[in-house]
Amino acid sequence: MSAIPVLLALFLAVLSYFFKNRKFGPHLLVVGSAAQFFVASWFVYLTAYQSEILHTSLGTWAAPFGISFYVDTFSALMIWISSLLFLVVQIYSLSSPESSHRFWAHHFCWNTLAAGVYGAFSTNDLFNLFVWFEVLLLSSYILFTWSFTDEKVSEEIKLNGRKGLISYIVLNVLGSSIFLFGLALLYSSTGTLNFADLMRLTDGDVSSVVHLAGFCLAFAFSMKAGFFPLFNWLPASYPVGPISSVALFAGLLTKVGIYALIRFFLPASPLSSEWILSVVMVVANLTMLLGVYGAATHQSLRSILSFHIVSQVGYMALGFAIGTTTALSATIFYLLHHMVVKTNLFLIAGAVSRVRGTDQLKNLGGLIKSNPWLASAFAISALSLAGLPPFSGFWAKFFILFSAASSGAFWGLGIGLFVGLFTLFSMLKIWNEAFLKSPQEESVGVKVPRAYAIAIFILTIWTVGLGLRPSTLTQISDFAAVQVLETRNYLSTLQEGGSK
Amino acid sequence: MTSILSLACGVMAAAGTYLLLRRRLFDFLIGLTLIGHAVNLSVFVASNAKSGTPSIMGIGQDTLALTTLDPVPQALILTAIVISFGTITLLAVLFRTSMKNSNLQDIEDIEKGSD
Repeated sequence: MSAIPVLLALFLAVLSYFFKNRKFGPHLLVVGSAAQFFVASWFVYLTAYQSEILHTSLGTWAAPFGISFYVDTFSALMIWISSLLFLVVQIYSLSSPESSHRFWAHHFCWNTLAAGVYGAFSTNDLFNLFVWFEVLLLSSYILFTWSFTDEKVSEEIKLNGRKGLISYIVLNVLGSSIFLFGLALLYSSTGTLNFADLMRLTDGDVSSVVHLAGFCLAFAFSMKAGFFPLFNWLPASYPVGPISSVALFAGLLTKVGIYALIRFFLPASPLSSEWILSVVMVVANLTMLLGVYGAATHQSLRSILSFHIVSQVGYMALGFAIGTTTALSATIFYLLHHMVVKTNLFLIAGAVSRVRGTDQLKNLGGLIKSNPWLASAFAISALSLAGLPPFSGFWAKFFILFSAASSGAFWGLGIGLFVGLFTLFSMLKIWNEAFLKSPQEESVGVKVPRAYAIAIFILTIWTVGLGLRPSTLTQISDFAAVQVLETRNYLSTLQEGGSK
Repeated sequence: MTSILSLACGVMAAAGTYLLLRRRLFDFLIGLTLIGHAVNLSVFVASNAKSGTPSIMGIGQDTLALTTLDPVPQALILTAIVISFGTITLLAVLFRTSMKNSNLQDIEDIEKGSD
C-alpha cells in the first residue's frame, strides 16, 4: 500500500502522454494531482493519528530481500507536502506557456519527478534510494533543458542557462557516482543494503569500511542538499529555466537530500556516527553564512531567492547536526514550512516576471500600486522566510534555535540569529526595489493570471495558517521525530512476510 | 583478481578526474563516463568475485552450492549502467547543442559569455 503515491505518479505521467493533444489535458492532471494529495493526506492520517507504519515489500519477497517501502509519519508528512506543491504548480502552469501542447513533456517530467520524490521519501532500501534519486534527477535535467527549445528566449539567456545546467548535471552525476561507490563499500562489508537489516548488525560486524561508506553516502546526500562547499550548482542553475519547474525544484530537490540524511544517519545503525554530526555542525554554520552572503550581493529576484535556499538549508542542517529528538522535530517543522514558502516565493517571482517581463531588481518598481495582492503575498512569504511572527517561519526558526540553545550549540544559535537578520535585509531589498520604489517607466498594467493567483493564494494561506496554529503540526512532528529515532519500528518490518 | 580490478578502478577514476579538471566540454563527457565505469567496476569488486558457479539451481536440487556467486551486485551494476548510460546520453545531446548553437567548447567560453 505504501507504494501507491509512486504508482499513481507514474500512472499520471503515462496519462499526460495520452492526453497531450487534448485541451482539457492539463486540467485532468490537476485533478490527478488533487487525488494524489488526498491519498497523501490519508497517509498522514493513518500514520500520525492511527500510529500505523505502512510497510510493503515488493516482489512477494520478505523484507530484506524484496524492495522495502516504509512510510512512517515523517515520510507521510514529506509526501503530503510535496504532493501539495505538485498540485499547486500544476494549477499555476495552467496559464503559463509550459502547459501548451508544445510543452507537454513538462507534465510528463513533473510526474516522473513526483514519482522520484515520493519514492525517495518512502523507500527503506539504500540502492532503491539511489534509483529514485536518479529518477528525480533525470526528470529535473530534462525540465531544465526544455527551456532551450523555446524560440522566444534570447540566446544570451540560453548561454547562461547552459552554464548553470552543465554545472548542475556534472556535479550531480559526480554526486551519484560517489553515492554508488558508498553503496559498493557498504555491500562488500555488510552484505545488505536494506536499512532495517543494517540495524541488526552488532558492533563486532562493523568494520571501518562501513564508516568510509557512511562518509561517501553523507557526502552525496549533502551535495544533493546543497551544503557548503558544494552548493555552487544551485545558484548557478535556479535563476534560469522554466519558472514553474524551478519553483518545484526549489521546494523539493534539496529537501530530499536533507530527508535522506535524517532518515539514514540519525537512527542508531552502523551508518550513524558522532563525527558525521560534528562535521555537519560546522558545515551547517558555513552554509547559512555563505548562502545569505551570496543573497546580499545579487541583484535579480531569482538569484537572491536561490541563495536563500542555501542559507535556509543550513538551518535544517543545524537541526540535523544537533540530532536530539526536539531538534529533529524542529527540523521536520522547518522542512514543512520551508518547502511551501520557498516554492511560493519562486511562484511570486514568476508572476512578477510575467507582469513586468524581467526579474532584474533595477528594472522593477511600483508593484505595490499596480498589483497590491501580489505585493501582500510576497510580504507575507518574505517575512515568513526571514522568521518574523506571526508567520510559520518564526516558529520554525524559533524551534530550531531553541533546540540549539538547549543542547549547547551556541555557535549555531548565534549564526542562526545573525543570518535571520540578513535574510530580512535582503527581503527588504527586494521589497524596496521591486515593490515600493516608483517605476522608471510607466508600465502597462498586466494583470496576474487567475491560475497564478489561486496557486499563490493556497501557499500563502498555508504560511499564515501554520503561523497562527503551529501546535497542530508540532504535535505531529514531535510524534514523527520519536518514530524516526525508534529502531524497533524498522526492525519490525523484517519479521512480517510478503506484501501487505 | 580483486587487486587487479581495484587497480583498474583507481586508474579509471584518476583519469576521469584529470579529464574533468581540463574544463573542456568534450573532456567532461569522457571523464564522467570513466568515473561512472570505475564506480560500476567497484560494485563488481564488492561482490568478492572469485571463480564460482552461477546462482542457478539445477533440476532436482533444492539448495545452492557453497561456491555460488552472489548475484545481487550484478543486478545492482546492471541498474547502475543503465542509469549512467541514460544520463551520459542526455549530457552528450546537451553538449552537442551547446557546441553547435552557442559555439561553446570550453567552460571558460561559457564564463565569458555570461558577462
